Amino acid sequence: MAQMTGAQYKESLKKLNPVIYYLGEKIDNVTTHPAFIPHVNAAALTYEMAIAPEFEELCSAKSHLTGEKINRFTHIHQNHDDLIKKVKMLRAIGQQTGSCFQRCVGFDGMNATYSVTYDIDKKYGTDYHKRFKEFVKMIQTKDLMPSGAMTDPKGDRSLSPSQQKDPDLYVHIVEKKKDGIVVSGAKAHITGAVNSHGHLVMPTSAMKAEDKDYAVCFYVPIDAPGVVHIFGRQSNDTRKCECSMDQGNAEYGCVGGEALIVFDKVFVPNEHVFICGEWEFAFELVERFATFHRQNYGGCKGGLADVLVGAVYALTQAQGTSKASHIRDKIAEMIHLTETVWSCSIACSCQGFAQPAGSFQADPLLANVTKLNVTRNVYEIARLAHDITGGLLATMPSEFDLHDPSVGKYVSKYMAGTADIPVETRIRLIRLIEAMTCGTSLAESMHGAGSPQAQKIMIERRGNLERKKRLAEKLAKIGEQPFLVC
Amino acid sequence: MVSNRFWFADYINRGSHKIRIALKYCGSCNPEIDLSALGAEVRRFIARRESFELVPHDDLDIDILIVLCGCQRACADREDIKSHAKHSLVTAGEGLRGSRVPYKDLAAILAAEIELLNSSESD
Repeated sequence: MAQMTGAQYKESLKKLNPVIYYLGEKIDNVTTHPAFIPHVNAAALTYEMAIAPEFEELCSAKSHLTGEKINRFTHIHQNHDDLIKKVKMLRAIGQQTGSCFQRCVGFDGMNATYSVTYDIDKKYGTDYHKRFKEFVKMIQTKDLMPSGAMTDPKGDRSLSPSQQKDPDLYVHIVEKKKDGIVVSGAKAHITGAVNSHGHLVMPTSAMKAEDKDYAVCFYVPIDAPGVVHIFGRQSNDTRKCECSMDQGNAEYGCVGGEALIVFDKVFVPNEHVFICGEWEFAFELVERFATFHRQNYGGCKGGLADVLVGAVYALTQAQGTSKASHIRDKIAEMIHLTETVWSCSIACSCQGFAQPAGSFQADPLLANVTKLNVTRNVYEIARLAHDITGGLLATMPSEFDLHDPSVGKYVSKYMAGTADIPVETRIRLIRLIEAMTCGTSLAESMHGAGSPQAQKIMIERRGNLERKKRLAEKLAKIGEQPFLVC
Repeated sequence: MVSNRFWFADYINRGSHKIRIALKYCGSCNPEIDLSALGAEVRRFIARRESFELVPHDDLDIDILIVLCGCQRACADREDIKSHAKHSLVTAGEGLRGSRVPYKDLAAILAAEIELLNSSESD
């Protein structure tokens, strides 16, 4: 089976036995629990769209390892076209879900690990890349969804992994056995963790020689002994359990459904260990993963912004403001901001390049620019949406009152907009805008794929300031200068 | 592309005493390295050798084409450009043949690669 349907994906989750806690309760089945259903639905759509004729060109690919048609989320990029199709796929799916569909993180982790393991083998004669190719084949053949688990809790940020008072604040090797390793620690904010099939665990930052036990990359099934998931809260998360319309996006929810993953003395067999102490490659893996992941954000957030712009536009028609010049100007600005981040994603894909492993990498500088713009533009898009929507965004009565026999008539009467558009349409649009712009959703645009300062560091590092200085010095006639600065 | 063995036979048969080397730049939109300086150093290396001759990159009879690209995107690493040459060496920012090479070493490594190609054909 090279590709699963959405239904088959949901069935495959039911066959697993992961340890998951949420609100102090052990969760038996994420596919039937209302807190998780929207996230499962969003991930399931990545399966459905890969086999839908309208989207298969973007959402599927041909495996370079098996020659089989596979879901693009399991693909290793082979050329620029793959990089471009990746972000086009993300925009297309984002337009359908209006929410995070989670599967890009493991996808990016696989692409980063693929090229880094090749480089490690080249230097040390290890066989990580061979192992990893077998792992990728397994993921492609079974069409699995691995999460990408990178961020450690980090404890005292002024200390390196090996200097922490509690060694478990970074995932690390606690024992090396003949047939594998034992690891402990945790990974935080892991998107799609509870509805993945397993976790691709990567180091979170550059390491030094003394941190070598923390330079570890591996894969474990979601229900491996010792793996515990603690699902995070979201703003308005109780609405998922108590109502429908007030969720705004009941089908797919908001953000990716993040969890803390604890590894309590987890055994990892050798065939799923991909870095084991090669500390000097930790930074390479982090940078390549970050590049892939930051490449994405003009795609998926572009797709989400398309939905938001549509919701706001429809709402202006429901509120009778659609012809006001300042409203039209603000909507045009929202589109401009959306297409700006989209342009960044396309640009860093077009400027990608081949790695020694033969796989392709997006341009790191432009990928970081993409994500930094997302941390700003998405907030500005949301601000404009709030401006246009009005204060009702924060004060609107609930769907229970709308349907209440006593006060429902008042809610309908006083929430009405233009006479020809039903009041429920207006309420539904405002709830969708609320779900997409208030609370947890915005924080995801800020910190997902790394915080703004992480992007600034990479941008400064790759900004080639010395060349820019030479360009200026030439025109300012400082010293002896060539006719052309190259 | 002609194989190395036949290439040298062609070279001898042609009656020329010079290896024809060309330089092609990627276009230099936003190079991460000083391409001009690198190119100048390669040109000086070629000029120092009697048996080497610098020819235009669009010449149809090139023995070794040096493609200098300012970043890893390597825009000029294209078959239509390289097909005029029997051998090609492509730099990509601080990289050559998929390996990272610091900028300060690139010219020397390129020179060594050219010598290697030359000597392997002479064996």
